[in-house]
Amino acid sequence: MRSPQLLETMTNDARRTADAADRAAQSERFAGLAERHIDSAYRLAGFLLSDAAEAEDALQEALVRAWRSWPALREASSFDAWLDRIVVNVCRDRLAVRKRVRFVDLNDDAVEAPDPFRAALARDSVGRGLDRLSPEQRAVVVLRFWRDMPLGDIAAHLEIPLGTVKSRLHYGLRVLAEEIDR
Amino acid sequence: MNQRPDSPKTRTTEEDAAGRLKALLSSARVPRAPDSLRSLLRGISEGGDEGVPPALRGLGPASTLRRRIGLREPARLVAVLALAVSMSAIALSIRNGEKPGLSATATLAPTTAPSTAGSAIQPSGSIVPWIDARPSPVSSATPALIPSGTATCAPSELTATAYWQGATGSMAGGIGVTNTNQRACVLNGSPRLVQLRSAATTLAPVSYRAAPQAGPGSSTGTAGPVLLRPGGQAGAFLLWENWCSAMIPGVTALLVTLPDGGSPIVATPTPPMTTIGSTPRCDVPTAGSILTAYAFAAVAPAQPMYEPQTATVSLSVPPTTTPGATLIFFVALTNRGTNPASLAPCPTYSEDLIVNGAAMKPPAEQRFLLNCIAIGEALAPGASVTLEMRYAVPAAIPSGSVELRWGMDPGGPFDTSSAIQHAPLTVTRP
Repeated sequence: MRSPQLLETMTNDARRTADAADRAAQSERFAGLAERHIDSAYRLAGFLLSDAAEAEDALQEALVRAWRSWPALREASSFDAWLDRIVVNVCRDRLAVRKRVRFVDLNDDAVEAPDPFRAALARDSVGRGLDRLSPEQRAVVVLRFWRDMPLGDIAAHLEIPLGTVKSRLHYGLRVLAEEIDR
Repeated sequence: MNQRPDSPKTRTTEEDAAGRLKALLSSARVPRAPDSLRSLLRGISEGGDEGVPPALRGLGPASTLRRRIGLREPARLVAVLALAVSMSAIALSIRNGEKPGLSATATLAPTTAPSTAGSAIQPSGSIVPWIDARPSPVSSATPALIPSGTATCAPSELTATAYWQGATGSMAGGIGVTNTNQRACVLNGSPRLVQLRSAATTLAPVSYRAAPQAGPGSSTGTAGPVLLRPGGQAGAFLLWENWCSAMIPGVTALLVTLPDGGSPIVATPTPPMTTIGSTPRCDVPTAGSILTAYAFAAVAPAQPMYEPQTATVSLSVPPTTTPGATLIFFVALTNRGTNPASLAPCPTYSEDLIVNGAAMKPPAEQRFLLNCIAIGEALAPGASVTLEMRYAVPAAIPSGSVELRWGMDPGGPFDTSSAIQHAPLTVTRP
């Protein structure tokens, strides 16, 4: 059955503007949800990158990505995990670039720099060993031992299989144990 | 890989490493997020252009929209209405056989030889030339005069229809009413009440809010008395937000009470919304669900209908530019959707330069129309087009690394969350 002319007209006008209208309405909600989680997300980035300034950049980039992808998020209740996932992805990309460009050894003079994350991790060889993990291993290890997240939650958080979480944790800890013994 | 010949007695186990790491991380004294990130969020929350932080300036569609129409205060609704009026005017011009904004200024060849610094790698294949085409100024439609003595519309004189669609987390829609009587009548204002029904149940958790303004679906953009001649039609825009209750099979009917009261009219969504999940996103679990209806407004004649299509934007930008130069670059725009992206009315795009995190705007208007004459009436699914672009680099721009932002504007045939791209370049002094 053909739709009435009225309905077609309204559909056309409203569809072209509803998207913009709704996004304007969502900006406040996005900011509110992000504000609740911003400290945790920042510290996650800091422990992943061992660098406060880079963590700030990474979280800013993550927030930009999140804001642009915000319409795709269906359940606001999963916002924290969703933002964490974006943070991890941004940090992983930054770590990959860092490995290609430079190598930061926490045993060198940089330890003396007043970076809070670097300094916190440099207190123990196991913390310095985080730099020897792959970005993927490091994300799992940090979520497990800083956030105290169960393995199943990590799998859901990062959207990876539970077996992958276990594997990354196992091999990550092996590397850290070796680092302690160096 | 060499294995360390450690003795079992001294070898650290993985459990030991886990314990030491946990102790280290839990005792770490690390700072909270810096103020810069908090102010970034405040900027989003406040929505005004002054408050939008540099990193997000120009990226969020809402802030982009407000900036483009020159609003400094949130004025969300006014911004939306302005866009609606703009789009309606463009569409009306198209229906009248005009090409808005193209006829006056469009040319298929550059009018002046731009000065550039650096050069983009020119893509192979045909390139659609840039044109200096801008949207025409918008003029509001004139509401019909109301003859004195015209009675207000009674529920018995009207029939109602409705529709819903998902809109990035909310449900947007409209109510349409038709005068089935033999005499003209007047509707003035927004519905006194709109209730949503799912099967035989009225959705009680939904709070109703009557907005006095005309909604985005209005052809005039202004609220006021609407004359409904016999067979005449009017519409009211709806926005339903924040559904945190149990999933329902969908809204099957809307009970619409007219501005002057009386028995509600039943409007059945077309097509039927019977799919579970046809509800707004739950954004704030502690807040209620809100349904907003805007004022009835005259309905414009029918227009072609399209769904915003996902797009890919790829930029080819020179590595350097200079202050005052015309930056020439190339944009490859691909329709990743499953439907043709209609270019009638011709969609607009915008350009921004992000310098030290702040958006730079040249003195001139930055909103342009695509070269739709050269591209054609539509971009087919999977089809790509390479467009030449220009950007007038402000003379006062400082040297250093900057970022060029190019994106399709909201309200057009492309999904603006996918049709925006950035590219780095360096400003050098000649």
